Amino acid sequence: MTDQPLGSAASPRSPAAWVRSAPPVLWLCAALAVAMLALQPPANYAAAAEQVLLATTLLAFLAIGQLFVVVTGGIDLSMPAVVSLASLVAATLSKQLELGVAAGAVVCLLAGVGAGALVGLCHGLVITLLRAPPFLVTLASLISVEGIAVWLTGGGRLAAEEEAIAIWYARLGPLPVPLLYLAALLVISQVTLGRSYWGRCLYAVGQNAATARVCGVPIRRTTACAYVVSGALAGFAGVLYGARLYSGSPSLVELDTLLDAIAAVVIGGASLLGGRGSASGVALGALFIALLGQSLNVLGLRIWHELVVKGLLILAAAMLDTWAIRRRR
Amino acid sequence: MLHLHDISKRFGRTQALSGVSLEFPAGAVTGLIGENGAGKSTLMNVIAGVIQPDSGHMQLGDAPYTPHHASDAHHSGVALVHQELNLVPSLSVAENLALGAFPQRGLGPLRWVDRRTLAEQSDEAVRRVGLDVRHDTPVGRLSPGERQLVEIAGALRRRPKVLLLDEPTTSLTGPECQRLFGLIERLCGEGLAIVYISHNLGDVAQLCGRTYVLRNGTLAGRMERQGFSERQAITLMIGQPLEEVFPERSGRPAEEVVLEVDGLRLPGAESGASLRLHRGEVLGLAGLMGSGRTELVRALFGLDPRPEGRVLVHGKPLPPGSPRAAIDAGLALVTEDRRRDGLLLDGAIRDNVALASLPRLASSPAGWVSPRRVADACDPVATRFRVDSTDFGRQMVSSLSGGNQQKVILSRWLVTEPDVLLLDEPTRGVDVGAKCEIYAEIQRLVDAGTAVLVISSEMEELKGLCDRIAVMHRGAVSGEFRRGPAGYDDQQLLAAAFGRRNEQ
Repeated sequence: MTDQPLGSAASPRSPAAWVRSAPPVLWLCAALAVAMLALQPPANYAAAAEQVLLATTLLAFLAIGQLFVVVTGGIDLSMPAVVSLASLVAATLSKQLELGVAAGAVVCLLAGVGAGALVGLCHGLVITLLRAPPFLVTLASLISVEGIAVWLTGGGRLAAEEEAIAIWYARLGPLPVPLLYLAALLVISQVTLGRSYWGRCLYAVGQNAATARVCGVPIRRTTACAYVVSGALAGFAGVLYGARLYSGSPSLVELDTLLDAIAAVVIGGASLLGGRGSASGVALGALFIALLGQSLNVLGLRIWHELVVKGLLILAAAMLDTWAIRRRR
Repeated sequence: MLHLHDISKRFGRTQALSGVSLEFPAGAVTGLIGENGAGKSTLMNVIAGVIQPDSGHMQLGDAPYTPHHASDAHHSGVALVHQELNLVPSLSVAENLALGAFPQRGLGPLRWVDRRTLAEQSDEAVRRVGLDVRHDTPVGRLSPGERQLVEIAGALRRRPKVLLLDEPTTSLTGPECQRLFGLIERLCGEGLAIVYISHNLGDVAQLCGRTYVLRNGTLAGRMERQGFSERQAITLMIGQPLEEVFPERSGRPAEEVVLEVDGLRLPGAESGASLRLHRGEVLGLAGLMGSGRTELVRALFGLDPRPEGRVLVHGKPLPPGSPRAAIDAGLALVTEDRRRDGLLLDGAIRDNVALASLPRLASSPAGWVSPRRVADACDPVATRFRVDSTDFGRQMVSSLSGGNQQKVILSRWLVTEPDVLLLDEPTRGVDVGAKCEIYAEIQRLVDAGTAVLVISSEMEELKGLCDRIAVMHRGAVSGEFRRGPAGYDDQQLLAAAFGRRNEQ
């Protein structure tokens, strides 16, 4: 699916053709899932699956957010800081505003997502208006926004009003609510990227901005909006992280979470040079990373061994995708 | 000098070359022409050692010549100048020329680049091709014509015996071509065997002693300079007689002015340019490279700033700096360099065709684009234009030939249903067949009332296509000529290109 040109009408294809054109990350995920299940007793299956899917959800929000900017040929390094900021904003508001659980929860969520979107808007404006390189702009922002987050809390963890924020990480019967977000995220981002005017503009900008300009694509608006979406999704992830821990914190996620997100984007078949990638592929990339973490966990490896294996497997997955694309050309 | 005997090469199911025997004598220019896919590139790659033939053999001078690798060809004295320029834009002229073999100085393992020798070698090489650029000029700042000469200078540095030139004039202006031809003739006099591959039959007629014509991987015929006729060459290339390259104009341009450019002054120009384009008219824009033709069109389309002057479409002023506004007003622009800003090379054909019409095809206000709607709007146009593909939705544009890529771009603008079509070098690097189809399409559009502005460095093309030709010089229009009963007067066009004002 990642190699398919955008928006091409789905034509009926034989199962064999589908198998051949499926992204390699799908097979990797299947293999890892089998391996992970084989490593533990059947009684643990449900719990393991839930853990993997929750980890996938958190990562997918960052990775798909990242995809929107990667498709334009940019990158968003500010995510860890935005996650922290959003969690802090949400936690602070849950404490200070006395709105009751339902209203409080909505306000927390909107404020967290809004804070992320605002940071993203700043990136978008600086990158498009000053023509600054995305790498530098978002790196600077990673540092500064982290600073703002520490400044706001004095460096410590900030406990949230439990009920108002935890509702976003609750369960609906047997089903953890975040899985619903994952489903919604997938559908909305897949459709937006593949089927909306803006989505097609994003790919055009990433493939050849000069051509896109000749064809009347509003380059600046298109690009800036990608950063807003990336910031907003990171903000949403921040609220989720906060909800999981009932608190906001300036060091909620570490840098390696950002790198996991970028790895998921690449493994999922997107090109860091822009112009190529799909939301479903990137979600699979996130699933792969989550499965990998869980399997290594079950194996009970030392953390340093775990890191070595993880690094090598990420490289292998990314290379497999590269080869698959080359073979199809 | 170089003899080819019975060369055959097969790729999968395609017989790229079958039993081709040619000879390229020393001290002569030999032409090699044929449509895209006729086997020219394969043959060239065989000679350059990039691919090995399945059967047949070659002889260089008296010795057998069996290159297994491109470097074998270099060492044997066979140099190839590619159509796609192989220069690094960010490096200087001298560095580009020395790539792979920098002159070095130093002690033992401690070596550094010998800057002075580098500069001297560069100056000498550049002088040899009659180019006047400093050795430290970044190649990115040179014009395409100058880059072509630098490329040739690079090939000549290895003192080759055989020089293959692939489409060397596609990006050159008239005077630059003449300078290149002078150089080729001089090299010929020095005893080089020169192989000249081109789509431009005028160049071939002027330059080549003998011309070989390839068709479908076989030798379709050969022509000596005395008996050369473009008509016969085209007949040999496409395998059937071509009635008319330029279609006969049936209608007359209307009085209605569709596009008016009023005193548009380009940055750095002393005076502004003014033009009027009528409904159903083909206006040519001639001029030397750097005369501001491309710049004028880009500025009026909103791609580049225009500090001064007005552009009116149907009498309504067009705001500067917005290609979207230009497209909405009914303008369309086929740019000069399709790789740089004409195509999404890694995109599907259909996506490329749809790109300029997406806002219209999207459902408002949410902006959803229905794939079926896109296909319904784009595929008929691409099909009518005979874009050579069976799957517009999946096949990437990068896999198409130059002619088909150009048809994709034209299809894109036809989908927008423009009132004014601006064409910058519409047939550059395009084979004869596609060229004729493009001319026919222009004709069809003009008959339907579209106004067309054509920029071309090929005078024959302008003279064949246009109702009027405006000549530009230093950013201003230095002359306007209407087609007379006997066509156009070359002298007048040329004089205007050099800035002498003589209104007809």
